[in-house]
Amino acid sequence: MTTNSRKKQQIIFSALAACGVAAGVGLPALHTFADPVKKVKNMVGGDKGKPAVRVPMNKNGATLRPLTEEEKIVHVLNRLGFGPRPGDVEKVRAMGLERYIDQQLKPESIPDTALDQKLAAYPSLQLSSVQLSEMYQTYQVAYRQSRAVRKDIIGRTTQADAKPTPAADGSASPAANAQEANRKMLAEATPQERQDLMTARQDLLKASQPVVQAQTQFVDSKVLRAVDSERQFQEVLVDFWGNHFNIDIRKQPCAILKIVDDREVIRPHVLGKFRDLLGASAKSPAMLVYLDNFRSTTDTPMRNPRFANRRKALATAVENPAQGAVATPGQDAVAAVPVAPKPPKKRAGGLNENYAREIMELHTLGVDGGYTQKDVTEVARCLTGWSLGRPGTARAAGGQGKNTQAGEFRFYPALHDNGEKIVLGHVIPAGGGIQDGEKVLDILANHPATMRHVSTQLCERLVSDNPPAALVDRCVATWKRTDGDLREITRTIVQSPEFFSVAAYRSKIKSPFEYAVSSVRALGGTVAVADAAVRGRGRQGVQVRPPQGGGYFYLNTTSMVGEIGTMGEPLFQYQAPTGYPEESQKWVSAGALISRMNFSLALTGNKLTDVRLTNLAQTLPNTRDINQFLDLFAGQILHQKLAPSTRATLLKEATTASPQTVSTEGDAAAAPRLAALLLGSPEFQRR
Amino acid sequence: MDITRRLFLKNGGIALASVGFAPVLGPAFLRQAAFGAEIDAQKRKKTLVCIFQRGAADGLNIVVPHGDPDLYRLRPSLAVPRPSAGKAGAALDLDGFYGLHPALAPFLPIYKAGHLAAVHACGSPDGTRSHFDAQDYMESGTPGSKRVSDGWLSRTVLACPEDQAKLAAAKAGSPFRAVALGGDHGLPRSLQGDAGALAIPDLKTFGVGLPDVAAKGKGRRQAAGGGAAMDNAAAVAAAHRNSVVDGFETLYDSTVGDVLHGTGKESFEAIAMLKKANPGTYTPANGAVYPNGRFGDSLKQIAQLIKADVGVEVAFAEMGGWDTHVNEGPRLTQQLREFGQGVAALYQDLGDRMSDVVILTMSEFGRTARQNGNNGTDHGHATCFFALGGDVNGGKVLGKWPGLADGQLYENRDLALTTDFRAVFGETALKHLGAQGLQRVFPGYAGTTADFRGVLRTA
Repeated sequence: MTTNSRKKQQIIFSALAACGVAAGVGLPALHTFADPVKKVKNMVGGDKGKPAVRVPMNKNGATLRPLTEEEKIVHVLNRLGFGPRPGDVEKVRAMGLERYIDQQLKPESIPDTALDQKLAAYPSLQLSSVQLSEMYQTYQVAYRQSRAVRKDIIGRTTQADAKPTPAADGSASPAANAQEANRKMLAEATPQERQDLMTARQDLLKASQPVVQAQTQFVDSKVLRAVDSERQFQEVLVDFWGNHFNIDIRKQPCAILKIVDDREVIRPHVLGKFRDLLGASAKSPAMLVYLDNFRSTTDTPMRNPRFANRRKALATAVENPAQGAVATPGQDAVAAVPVAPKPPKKRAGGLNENYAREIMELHTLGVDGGYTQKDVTEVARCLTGWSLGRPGTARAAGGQGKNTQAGEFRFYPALHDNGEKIVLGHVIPAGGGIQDGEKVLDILANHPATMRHVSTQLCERLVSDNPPAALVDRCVATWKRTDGDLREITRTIVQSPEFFSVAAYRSKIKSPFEYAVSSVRALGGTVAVADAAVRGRGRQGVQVRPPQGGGYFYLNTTSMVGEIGTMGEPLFQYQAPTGYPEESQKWVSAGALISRMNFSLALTGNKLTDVRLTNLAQTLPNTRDINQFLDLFAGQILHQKLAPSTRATLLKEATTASPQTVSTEGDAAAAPRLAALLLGSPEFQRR
Repeated sequence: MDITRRLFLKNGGIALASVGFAPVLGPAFLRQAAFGAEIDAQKRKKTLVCIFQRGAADGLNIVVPHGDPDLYRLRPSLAVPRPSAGKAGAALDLDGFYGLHPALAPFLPIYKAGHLAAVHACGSPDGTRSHFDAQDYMESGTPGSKRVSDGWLSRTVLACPEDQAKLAAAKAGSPFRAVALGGDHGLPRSLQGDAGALAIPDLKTFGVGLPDVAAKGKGRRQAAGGGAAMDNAAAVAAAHRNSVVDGFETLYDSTVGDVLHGTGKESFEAIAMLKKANPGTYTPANGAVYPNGRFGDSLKQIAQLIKADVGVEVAFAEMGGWDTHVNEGPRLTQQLREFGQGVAALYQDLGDRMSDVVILTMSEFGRTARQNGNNGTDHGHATCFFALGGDVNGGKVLGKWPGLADGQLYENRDLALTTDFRAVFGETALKHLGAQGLQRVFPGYAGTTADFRGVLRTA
């Protein structure tokens, strides 16, 4: 018998012993970790005597034990951040938990120079809305041009059968039709036409590159910040509020305008006054496009000749949604920036209720917030003319633009409905102009239904899927006291006993984004900026439009963003204005679970192109004792004691799949597989 | 009550199975005893395929009431032209009053064969115009009430008698009894509940540590330059992968009492079954061509699963992008082209199996009767559903037409409702799948079987 196999026997024996101990003695702490609520209930069930002192109870009347100091730290790192990195728990313990929380509530006080240096690799994030709009404008011109060239050729060569094979008999897919039409066109084009086509295509490629790069850099930066930022809570809150004011970047040009929304609307306000956040969102170019308010006008626009051009521009936007012959779902308001206006065919404009409805249902009051269809229409009327600047026609023709407000919020008095409105019982007198909208925002931001709805959502994100009513009540009280100061409302939540309760501890299932980021952090990994930046210029580099058939950007790329999408949360690409759901249950499905296991394999196998795991070997526990190793390694990733069954599984992986034991001195080959198991385990799906 | 009844059914089913093939003697009696109702003893295993058109599909431009002159008054530039107009883009006449949007041409032969019916002015009696709420209500099957946490399809599956085929599937532990294919994310509300259901974004990538998953990115590049040493390394890697996958299975198997436990179990069962069914190489039958993209893929994979006989009773697919606020004309055409081609391909691909399959389409509400200022339509009320299949009483547009004149519109703006969606869903659940008890599937529904619209043929 070799030393090795004897060692294995010992290991297995000790594992069995561990199981036996666990089963016999009960190891309350261990079970509590695995299923806190259930265990607590059991404990109460065995002791029905009256408690001598008042102890916290859950809604079933079960007593709740307080969290240990270690658990509190892990909880804070999981909820006020994207999970602990190696060493984080110790760091927080050293500085004191309360101080850590306080600091996270003041992100501006936390230096983040390492991240800032990395972010310098994403220069697009600094572009103004005017610059970004110009960029998109150039792309649009090139796109139109290339289409026009194609159309001319097709029009000349295949006049008789200009229409591609009808799909009526189901004999060919739209894509096959397009290919066939393309083939035919190329075959019949003259050399000059082919030259024109090539030029147009190159121009389009050149023009689309910066657009794709900007949107890729932006989406990548979300992952980078979440993994690397020291201001962890700020990133959690940006994730929350960005989802609250959801924008689907597949509705172009939201992809580039979302850069401004993130930088100037969400980020600066997550710990500010709610009214300011709401107001910023209402004027966010990306939001104005996403929920169509930029098109919403009074039914009887002023016939002031001064506004003729703008009416024309707006009309063009409506007439030419700049979609390809093959339009894509979720991509309707493409022409926020109209190009080469033609005379409008008919009077454009009219009321669009989309934003008015969602600002009440989703952003403020909540669906049961007590508003009516009439209120929706009235709010929409108040917000008519809230739109964005459009480039002048001079630029469209290739000249110098004069409109410095292109792509920025702009109020168009001529398109505003100046009549009297009544919103939720408040009379808004006629002639208020832009103030009508401001009044609506005041009413909504200070409405009791808003306070309750938004506080509940914050509690759902930070505490549990069904937050205790008492906590929501206290949030509402803080809201009233501080005039909607989100920093204080958030503080109320994260310093509450409900937050630090066993019922809340590990009760949430991580979203795919939280799961992926926390996995990288648990392994001490970082995001490789250079590679990520290159990806945008790769094979997918010319795609400004999302894949057809409701597809997503970046899916099926072996990157963090791609994997997060595969796991069910394509970033910034939720079609409905609701944003991704907060309920844990929604993230639990067989398909999603399988993709999470696949993610853990890809990550630990070092297959993600944009993650650096240089630290994995360094962070391995330094011990030759396999049991001790497993405990330490698992503790480092899960921050809880191993359940016996989990330990047995890990032991099997460490000893049977690999000929040698795991230690830093021996063969460390099993370490990535152990890490994969831990990251893919049920325990790690929770936060 | 439910539990006892269900247990009785289960035991009854087992008794039947043990008696063997005795369709004449015992079963009818036993079944009558069990349900107090007669069940068609000839019924084979049936499948219902539901397709949700998310975003509120514009029924008025899909099955066009071209015989109603008000349509052209309300939608001067958006209505689909009358068939008599004889120009490109005109509606395809069905019965002199209704016509199909021209992009739905693939539906016409199915309609004429009597296998496709439309139900017009159908939808939810609840007046909400929120996508979120309306979808939620339609999927829970309880308009106006949010207290019901499970979906109507889950309850339908639970209300179905355990006939022999179903029992066999249940014995095999079929995780595919209720499946959602190609969804954006998670299990659709319709399928949530105690019946257990599986959400599969894509059959092709359904599995853990599949070689193609592992070969992505760096792995493939490394493997390319390898040679014999690489082969050996690949074999070791494969062995390791398998052992990790086993490890995962054990981990999830042992987390009893956790919501993740059940999901994990389902996942690994499904993987094993799918491996057996080998869906890797699939060619649609009868020359069916699915449209490219997610929607077409999900329908194709539903056909794969049905043909693999893995016990699918309820399948769910969805298609987004129907929220045509702006420039509806070309957008809807594009939507309907993909939709029509996909549904027709599924019908064609399933061929004879369509005698046991019903395809049912739905959308949360319709759109305003008038076009809006952006050549589109806003959130409305009633819309139009389709049903396809051998059991379908096809070749007709069912439901009462409410008219579009002033005073006939719902809230003076939308197509009024004449058929509660539960009458249509209920008819397929009861008459096609054999679910027992309309109120069990739709708690709080005041309707009865007398409200059914005759979507299905009566045997």
